[in-house]
Amino acid sequence: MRFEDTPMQGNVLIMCKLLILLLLYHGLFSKIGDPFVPFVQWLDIFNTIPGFFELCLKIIFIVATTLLFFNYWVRTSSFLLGCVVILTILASRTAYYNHKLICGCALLLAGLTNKNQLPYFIILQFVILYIGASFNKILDTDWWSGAFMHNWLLNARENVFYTNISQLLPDMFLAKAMSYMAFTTEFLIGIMLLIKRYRNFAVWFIIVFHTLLFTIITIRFGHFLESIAIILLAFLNWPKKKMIIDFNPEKLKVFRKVISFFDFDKKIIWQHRTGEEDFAIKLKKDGETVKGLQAVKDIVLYTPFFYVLLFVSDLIIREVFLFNWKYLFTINAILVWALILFFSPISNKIFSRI
Amino acid sequence: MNFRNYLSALFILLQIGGIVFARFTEQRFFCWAPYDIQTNYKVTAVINNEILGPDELEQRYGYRMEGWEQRSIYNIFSIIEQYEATYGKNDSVSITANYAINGHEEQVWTLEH
Repeated sequence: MRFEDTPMQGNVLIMCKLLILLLLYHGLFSKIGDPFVPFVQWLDIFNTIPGFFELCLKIIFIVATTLLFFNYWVRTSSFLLGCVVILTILASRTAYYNHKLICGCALLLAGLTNKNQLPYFIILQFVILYIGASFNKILDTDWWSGAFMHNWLLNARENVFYTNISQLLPDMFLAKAMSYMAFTTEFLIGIMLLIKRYRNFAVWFIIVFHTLLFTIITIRFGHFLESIAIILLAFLNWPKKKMIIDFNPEKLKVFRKVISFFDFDKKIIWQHRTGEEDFAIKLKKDGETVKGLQAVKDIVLYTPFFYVLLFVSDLIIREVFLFNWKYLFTINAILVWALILFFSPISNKIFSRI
Repeated sequence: MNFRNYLSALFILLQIGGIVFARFTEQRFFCWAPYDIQTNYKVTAVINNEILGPDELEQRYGYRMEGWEQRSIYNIFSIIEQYEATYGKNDSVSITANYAINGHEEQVWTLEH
């Protein structure tokens, strides 16, 4: 549960650990196997010694995961784990899934990051992802005609939203509108991520876009949505030094106790408010100062345990409501939109009394 | 740029190469094209004069052989082709896939040897 004092930035390390937990939850370990219809045909050579390839990959996975979680050689471990995921895919065409591949790419690139620099190549990975996705769609006539969207949502998914709303609109209007929005959004995200000034906006765009997609389509595309959410941790402007929090001892007592308790890295220095200024809480981080609700939000965002809590909560909710898809979807949608509302700049205006 | 950055750059460039290469092939691997195509398909096969059921086909090819596929159908055909060219090269096979891409007219793909 500690994420500092390693050669990797704290947020990137959180990302790596959560990605491994996500992959384990979705059965990656059991899917590591001998080559079967591999992309690289010479990998079939390993089938002359049955079980050897699988055993090697599994040993590397176990050792690298253990080292990563105990914060030893974190970059090498992450790189190796990324290689294992990608090799598992290369060793079998049937194992190819984009939601798995993006995890492998993020882990591999995380292993090549530098603690003192932004993880530029993880950002570039997202640029490739979104521009690639939009490029493939833009060059497909079925996306311009709406045929894909209409067939997918009406015939394959029998999507309630699409089925009901499309009947109220001219023929193929909704299908085309959704298609154009999808590939335009993906393209814009890719471009905005490249420009530093718009990067934060692009991150919000990604979060809202995928949440909207989930709300309308009601699926997570394997574990693609979770993978994206976790990899977005790499985009956080993670504190380089200790954070200083000035607080009013009469306010936010429970909040301070909880944050203090889960500050395993001891990255926060708490000090009583001094002077005449009236505020409940003020955060000083790397030369910047924020107070009130923004300070609360930033403190939560820079507390690693928050992401662990979100991850575990998601798993628990999924397990509890596994056989009732409607409840699961409703709870997920409400929780995610509530989090988006809370952390968005809008909430500063709505809840300005802190 | 240090060695790590060069390696990262190479990894990114490989992916750009994959996206470009995908324009010249019907398969859609390693080009970040998820959920671009929705194909309803069903594969039937006679292997060594025996008709295989859906479960047996799935066991043979390691992938479900009927239903909805959200990537290129040629991804599935490539699995079948490679299997039959390697592990199944000594079998007598007659494979038929009926498929419809994005709601268009049904097409047929066959493989025999």
